[in-house]
Amino acid sequence: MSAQIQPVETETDEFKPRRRRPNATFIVFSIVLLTIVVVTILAPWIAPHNPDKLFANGLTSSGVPLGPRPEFPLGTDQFGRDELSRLLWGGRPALLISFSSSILASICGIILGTMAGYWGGWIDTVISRFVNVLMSFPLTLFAVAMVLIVSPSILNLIIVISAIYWTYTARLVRAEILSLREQEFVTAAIALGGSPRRLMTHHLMPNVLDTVIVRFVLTVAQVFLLEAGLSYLGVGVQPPTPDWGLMIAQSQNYYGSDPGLILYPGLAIVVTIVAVTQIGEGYRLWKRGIHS
Amino acid sequence: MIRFIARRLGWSLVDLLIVVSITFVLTYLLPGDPARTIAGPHATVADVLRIRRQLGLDLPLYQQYGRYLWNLLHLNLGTSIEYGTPVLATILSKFAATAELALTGVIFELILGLPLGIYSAKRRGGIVDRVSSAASLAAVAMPQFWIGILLLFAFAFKFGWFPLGGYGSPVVWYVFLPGLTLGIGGAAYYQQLIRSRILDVLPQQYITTARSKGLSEWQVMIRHVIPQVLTTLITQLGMDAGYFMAGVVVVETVFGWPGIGLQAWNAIKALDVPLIMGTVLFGAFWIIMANLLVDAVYGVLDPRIRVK
Repeated sequence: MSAQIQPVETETDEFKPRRRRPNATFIVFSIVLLTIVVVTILAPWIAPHNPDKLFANGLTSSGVPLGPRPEFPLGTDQFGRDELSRLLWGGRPALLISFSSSILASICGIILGTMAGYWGGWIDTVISRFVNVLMSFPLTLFAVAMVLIVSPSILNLIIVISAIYWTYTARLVRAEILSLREQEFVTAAIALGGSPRRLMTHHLMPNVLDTVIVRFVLTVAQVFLLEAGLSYLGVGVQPPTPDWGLMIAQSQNYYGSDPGLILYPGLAIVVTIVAVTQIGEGYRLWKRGIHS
Repeated sequence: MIRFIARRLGWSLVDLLIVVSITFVLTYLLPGDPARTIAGPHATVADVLRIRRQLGLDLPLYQQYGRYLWNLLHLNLGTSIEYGTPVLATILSKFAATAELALTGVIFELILGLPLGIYSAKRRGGIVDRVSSAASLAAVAMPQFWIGILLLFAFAFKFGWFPLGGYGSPVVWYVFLPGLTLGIGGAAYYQQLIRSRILDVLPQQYITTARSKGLSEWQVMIRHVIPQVLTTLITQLGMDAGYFMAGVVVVETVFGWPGIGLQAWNAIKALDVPLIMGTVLFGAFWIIMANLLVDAVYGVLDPRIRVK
C-alpha cells in the first residue's frame, strides 16, 4: 500500500535562480500541516463532545446515523457518537505513530547507513544484506505478523514500523556516504588526524542530513498509510480509540446510509499526507536552490 | 554476463536463507500453541504432549530449525491449522486469483500512468499536466482501502455497474474494481516517474540533434526518449509485479477477492501461524525473484551494471 509513495526526482533546471528563502510550497503546506497538528493536539479542548460517548439520541429510531444538525455538526456515526469530535481526535494515533517511528527509523538508518558506507567490508555486507532481506518481505503482511507477536499497542506499533522502515534511510545514506568518502574534504579530515568516529559524526553525517530529511518526510507519509491499513485490518489502533483509518474501516458497511462517515476521515488522511509530501518536495527544491 | 547473473543468484539464495531464518524465529515467537490448537479444547494434557512430540515441538531449537529447513527444501511449509491441508497447496489454490488481480493492477498502472506521464512531460505546464499532476499527488496520498471503498460506493452501490465484491464469472467484470484500486496508486506514481524522467532527457543535446535531423516530435519521443525511460519503467514494473504477487492483503480484503491476501487475513484472525508465515515466505520469495529478474534485465540493457 504505502510502497507507492516514493521519491521521484523532478526535472533539473540548470538556470534556476538562487533562492535562499523557503519557497511558497514549503511555507503553505507547513502551515496546513501545523494547523492539523495543532487542532489534533487541542482536540480535548475544542471538540464539542466526548468522542467515545454513545449518545442515546445519536441514532434515529431505526438505528441509522444522524445527519448534520446543530448538536452534531457532522452528524453521528453508526454507534451514535459525534462524528466531528471523533474526527478532531482521530489524527492523534496516526500522527504520533508516523512521526515517532519515522524519527526512530531515521536515526537508526543514518547510523547504520553511515557505518556501512564508511567502513565497507563485512560490516557493509551484513548491514546491506539485512536491508535487502527486510525489503523483500511483503510489507503489510510482515508488519501484521510482527504486531501479532507483540500485541497492537501504540508503542509496539511504533517499534515494529521503525524496525521495517529504517532500511530505506540506511540504503540512501550508505550510497551517499560511499560517494562522499571519495571527496577531498574527507581525505583532508583524515590527514588532520580525525578519528573514524569524529569523521562520521562531524564530516559525513552533516552532509547526508538533507537526504535524510527528505526521506524522513516520505517515511512519515508511508507510515501514515501503513498505519491506516493496519487499523483497517484490525491489527492497528484498537477500538474505541478514535483513529481516521479505523473510522473508515468501522463505517465501511454504512456508506449506503451515510457516505460522510467514509469521506471525512479519508479526506483528513489525504490532506495530511499531501501536506507532508509537499513539505518534503518544497524542502528539496529550497535546498537545491541554495546549493546549486 | 553469466558470471554477473550467477553472482546475483547466489546472493538471492543467501537472502532467501536469511528470510527463512527470520520467519522461523517469528513462527517460534507468534502466540498460540499449535499442538493445543490441533488437539482442540477438550484434549487431555497427554494428548497435547503427544501431538507436540509428533510436531517435533519438544526438540531443541536448533533441531527444530534443521527440520524447518529440511522441510522447506522439500517444499513442505507445514500444515494449516485451520484447514488441515498442506500450507503450500493451500496458498497455490488461491494463487490464480491473486495473479489475475496483480495482472489487472499492472495493466491499469500502465494504461493510466504511462500516457499521462508522457503527455504531461510533452506539454509541460499545460492543462493535462496540471490536472494529472495534481491528481497523482492526491492519489498517492490515499489509503488503498479508502480508494476501494469509494469505488465500491460509486460504481457498485450507486450505479450498480460492477458487483459489490467477490469472485465470479465473467472474471473481467469482478476484477475490474479491485484491479483499478490496485492500479490507481501505481498509475499516479508512474505518471510522476515517467514525467520527471522524460523531462530529464529532453534538454539533452542528442535530442536537439535528433530534432535538427528533421525528426518529428513524436519520432524523437519514440526513438530517443522512450528507450531512456525504459530501464526505469522495467525496474518499477518488476518490483510492482513482485509486490502484487506477494498478495495484496488490504485490497483483497476490501473486495472479498479470494486470493492469498484474503486467505492470509483469515489466517491472521484464526491465528493460523503456519499459514500466515507460509504466505509471508511465499511473498518474500516472489519479491526476491522479481528483484533478481529486474537486475538481470538491467544487466542486459545496461552493460555498465555488470562490471560494477
